[in-house]
Amino acid sequence: MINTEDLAFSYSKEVSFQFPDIKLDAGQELLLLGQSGVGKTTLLHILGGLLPPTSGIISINNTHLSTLSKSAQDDFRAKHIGIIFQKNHFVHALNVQENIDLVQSIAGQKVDPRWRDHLLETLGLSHRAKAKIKSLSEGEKQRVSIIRALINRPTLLLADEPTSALDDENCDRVVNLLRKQTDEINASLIVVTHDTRLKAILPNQIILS
Amino acid sequence: MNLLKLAWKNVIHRPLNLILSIILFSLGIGLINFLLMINDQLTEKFDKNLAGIDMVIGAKGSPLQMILCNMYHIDNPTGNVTIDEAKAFLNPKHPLIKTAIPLSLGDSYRAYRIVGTTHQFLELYNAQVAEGNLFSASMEVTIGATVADLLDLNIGDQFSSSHGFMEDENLEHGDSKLRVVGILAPTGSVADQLILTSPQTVWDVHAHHDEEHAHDHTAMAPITSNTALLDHPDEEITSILVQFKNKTNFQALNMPRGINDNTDMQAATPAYEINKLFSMIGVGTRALEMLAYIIALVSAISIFITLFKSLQERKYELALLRVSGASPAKLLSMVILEGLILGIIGYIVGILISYIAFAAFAGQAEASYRYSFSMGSFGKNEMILLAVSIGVAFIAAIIPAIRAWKTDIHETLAAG
Repeated sequence: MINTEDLAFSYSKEVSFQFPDIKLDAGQELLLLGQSGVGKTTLLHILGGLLPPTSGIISINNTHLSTLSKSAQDDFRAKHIGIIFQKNHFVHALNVQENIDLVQSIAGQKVDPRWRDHLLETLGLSHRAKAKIKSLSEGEKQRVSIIRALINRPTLLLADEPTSALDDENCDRVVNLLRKQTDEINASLIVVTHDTRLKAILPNQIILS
Repeated sequence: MNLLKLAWKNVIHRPLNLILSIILFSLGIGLINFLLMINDQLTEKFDKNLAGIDMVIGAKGSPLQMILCNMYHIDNPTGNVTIDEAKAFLNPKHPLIKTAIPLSLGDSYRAYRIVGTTHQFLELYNAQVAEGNLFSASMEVTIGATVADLLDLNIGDQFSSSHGFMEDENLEHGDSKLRVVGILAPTGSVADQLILTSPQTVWDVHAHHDEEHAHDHTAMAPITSNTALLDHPDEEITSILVQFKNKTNFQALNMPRGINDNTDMQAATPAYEINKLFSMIGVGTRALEMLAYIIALVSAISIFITLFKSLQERKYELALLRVSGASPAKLLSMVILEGLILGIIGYIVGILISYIAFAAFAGQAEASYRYSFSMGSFGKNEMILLAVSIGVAFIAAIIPAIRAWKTDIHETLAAG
């Protein structure tokens, strides 16, 4: 579960954000909705432990992120947080399967081929396991990103604009996939987006402004 | 997937960059190692063949040529001197001279030189007879190990020598047959590539050509020592290799000048002439050395640019690795490892190149001078070069590695 209190971040005197508090139990879903420039990506990076807030408290699984050392934060992030970015980045020297395994290795966990193969199969990518990243379509890349975010069975899954580039049909599919998969490992899901189509699917919402 | 494997995959993912870096790096290392190998081998050959000789006496001409001809057997003689002229130095009772070894040159067999000398010659190079006997009567020869090996000569075999040092059937002394009576054990010195015989053999072979000068030597007692040689004042020898009783004796040190000033012969000091030779070759060697260092520098820069450029292209990958929980230190190590992989592959290829180049050089040297070079084993130079390669690669990787270490996740991803 995740709790935030009085989170704020300022890039400068003119550009600063004050974020509403978030309280989410294990397995719950949340939609963070907002227009461009309201600090959506900034908030996602703060929640993901990629950016320390200027002030405020963020706690995941009863651990205050700001109290951890830098390397402990890296470690915590590896084990407890999965992030799907708007743009999908990979290690291009590695194939699909190796990219997924790498994330497990970095988190200090043993590579679990059965779990990885299960995810590949569930997301319809079994036949692409050995494919080069370059040969993947954008849709396939996004699904590999989802697998990568889930492989360490995180407590919290963060998704940044997962549907903005998709048509209605695929938009529904991707969101349902995220919900189903987080449900399976009992992880919390936070989707950050400006895509208003998601309003109807994820009822627990916070509007950023 | 460990860090090393990831670094390796990253390196081979860009084969063109990889090949360019490796070519440059291996050329630098290869050239340096090649020069070191040649230098070591030449120094060893020259040192070993100095054989404690303090002075060479021969006919007037170029002193360096005389040394190269009579000690290293790679140049032509400056001429001959009569035994009568040289008798003072051949006298066993000379107060300053410990050993004086006469050499009579002029013929060869399949480009291996025939040396008319005394039995003392073997002591210079600690040579031992491995099979058969030492030469004693005219036309008997004892051959060096390399000669026996490469020409496949055995005891009892006969051959005709040819005039001069080139392999030329037209110059063969067809009617005088030399007979192998013994084979020397390998010494690693010039003695391995020589055919040793008594001075009498050389005289006899030439007497057939030069009937006016003909004497009938066959009836004489074998000449294997200086005392026997002094009985033939009219005959000629090419040179005398001299060892002094006391190398720092003032009179001994002045003897070469005395000979050059007061006789029709010349004397030269091997160490001095060889140093002169080395300083002449040195200019070329230094130019090559400079070239090698420049290539090494360029290759270090190329590794730097390769890594720097590839990290520029991989900035999102690095941010992603950080998101996945890799610490900055891990990214730093990964980039350093990539540099080291380039350096070590370059080193291995470079050493191979130097071995191939050296083998080619040794083949050439063998064909032209009958000197055989051993490949040498993986030794001190190679270890030092390995350390240098690792050091250069490490230095080239440091700046890119620090950049990777400083990757700011938020900034990189928010911009992308």
